[in-house]
Amino acid sequence: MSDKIPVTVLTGFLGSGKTTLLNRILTEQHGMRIAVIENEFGEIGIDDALVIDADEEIFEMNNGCICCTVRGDLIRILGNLVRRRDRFDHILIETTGLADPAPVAQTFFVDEEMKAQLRLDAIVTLVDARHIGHHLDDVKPEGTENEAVEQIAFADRIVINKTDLVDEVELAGVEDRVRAINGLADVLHASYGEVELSRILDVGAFDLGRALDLDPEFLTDSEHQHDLSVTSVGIELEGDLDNERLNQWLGWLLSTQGTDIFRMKGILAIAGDERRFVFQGVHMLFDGQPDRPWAADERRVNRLVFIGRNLDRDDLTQRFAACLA
Amino acid sequence: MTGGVPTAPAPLLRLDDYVTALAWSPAGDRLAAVSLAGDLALVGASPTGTDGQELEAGIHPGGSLCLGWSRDGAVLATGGQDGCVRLHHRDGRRIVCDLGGWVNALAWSPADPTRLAVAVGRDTVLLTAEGDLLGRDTGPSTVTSLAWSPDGKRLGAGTYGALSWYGPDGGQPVKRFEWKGSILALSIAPNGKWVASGNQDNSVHVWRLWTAEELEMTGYAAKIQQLAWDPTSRWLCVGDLGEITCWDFSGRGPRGSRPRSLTGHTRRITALAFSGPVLASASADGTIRLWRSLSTKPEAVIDLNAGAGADAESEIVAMAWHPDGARLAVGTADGRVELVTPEPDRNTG
Repeated sequence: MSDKIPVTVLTGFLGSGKTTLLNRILTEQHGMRIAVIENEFGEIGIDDALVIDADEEIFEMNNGCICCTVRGDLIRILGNLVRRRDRFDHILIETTGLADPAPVAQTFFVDEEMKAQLRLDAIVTLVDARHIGHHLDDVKPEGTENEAVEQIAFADRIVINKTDLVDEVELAGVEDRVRAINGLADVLHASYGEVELSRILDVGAFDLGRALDLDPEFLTDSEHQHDLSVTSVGIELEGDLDNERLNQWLGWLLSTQGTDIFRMKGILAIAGDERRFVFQGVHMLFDGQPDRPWAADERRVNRLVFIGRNLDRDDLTQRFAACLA
Repeated sequence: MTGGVPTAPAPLLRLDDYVTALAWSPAGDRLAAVSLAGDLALVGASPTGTDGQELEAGIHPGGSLCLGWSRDGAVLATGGQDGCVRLHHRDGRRIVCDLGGWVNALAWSPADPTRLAVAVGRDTVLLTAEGDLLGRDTGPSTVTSLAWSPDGKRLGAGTYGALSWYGPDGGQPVKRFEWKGSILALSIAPNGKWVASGNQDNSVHVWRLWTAEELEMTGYAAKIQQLAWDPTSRWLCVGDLGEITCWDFSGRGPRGSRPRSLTGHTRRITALAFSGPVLASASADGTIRLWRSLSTKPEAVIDLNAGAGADAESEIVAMAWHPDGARLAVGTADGRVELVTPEPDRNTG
């Protein structure tokens, strides 16, 4: 894993401060060879960074039972980048303000060449503290997505930027709304894009080998979430799972609701296995493996979090509980 | 397993970066190679060895991606990430056409030595050898691959969602084979009866020309970028992560049949090319294998890293037969270009 080049995806609406943050990363990480793939004409103020313009091309891929979308332009650009003799320490992909993060993320899981040489480190979403409320409230025509909601739902790190432009009450309101959509991401506050870079770079958000900390408990409070179509659902349940029933349920869930489930993560206790089973997924793409053994004094508690559209908390919980051995 | 190898020759050429493409002139007197550093190297080849080299460094900033000789060998075209096609005439003239967008592929007409097709971003462009624009069509997505029919009357352009066909002057497509998938490579059978595409979704799609009857081979281990028809048009060979599968198009065709499988490579197949009945396969595992008449036992295995130290791990990423069928030029990911003269391997039998 260590010799794979980490890739950070930077999303956020126009005006959320992506270019400012990008320039800060390039300035502060000098000495690192960083390649930037841009979808919009930003103003990269650093001469020694390699900047490549991308032209968003979304491809649908049908691979047996898995159906997903990928970014053909990124496959080409990244394919040529990793072939170069001068290796890059880090790659940053800046998406357009209206980009759907799903095809970007999925690109790293369906292409063998990508998987062998690159690792998606994290999706970082910037929101403008002052305007994000309007963007979230924006009513979209039937069948189209609210991109602001999507970008928050997909994020591993959410940077609430321009906090100097709002008061504390407003800021708390923004944070509540963001967390109601995405209960998994770390939420950071910033003005002028000033965040501690170690909290957004090289964080291994898609790395199952890194300690996965899930605390679904705070996600069980659904009081102020009923009017949201995109939410996070956390499940916490003690006991051993029947492997076969679990597989059946997960397979069924992803084939029927995979398009509505944006992200998921979990730590599971499988009957007869000393080790924790950790997994994560993006839509229908599922990635899981055994982890460290459960400690002797540790309760075997299953923890799962789903972020998605029209998730039925009670139904998910019930069906999951039915997988207990 | 390294019999038949002329032991680790000194590289013919050392380029600064990944060798993206190489090609012999039709007469076999010159070898051209381009790299991701944007360089073009030309080597003169005499029957006994090489005579003279020239290097044009950094002619395509961002990287050279493709090259090709006109049918009469009078012009070498190169294309790169800088959006330019450069026409290198034998008489020393250099013509540069800035077309905007990455030049992903180029293909000279097999019928007319003055006609060049170029894939630039989403556009299929037809140029003359003097760089004059004959036709330009913008498609719905990036053109990844080009292939001329053997008679030079049709040009196929592979994109996401379709294989578009143009007349010899380009312009508007005259025909489109719609297909929901992302085409990465195209190869037309020498008899002009079939066209095969290698695809991002780990499949090969084949259309009969021009009835558009379709065949599909799915379930490969990776995206397909290497396809080769044998000169008799009977066999279509497909390279994936390490296996070569050969589909038999004789008789009623391959529908429902099992392909012949050639195994031995341990990593991605990066080039496939026939010279008469001999298929050469190159791989990221650093070896070239020669398969006579598609026998499942290779006639020769040439390990480019043999004798070069235990930690040598050059990946072969480009390969071309000399027209005499006795020599191969190969290019590696670390910028080496080597000349290989294989001999039948008595030790592998």
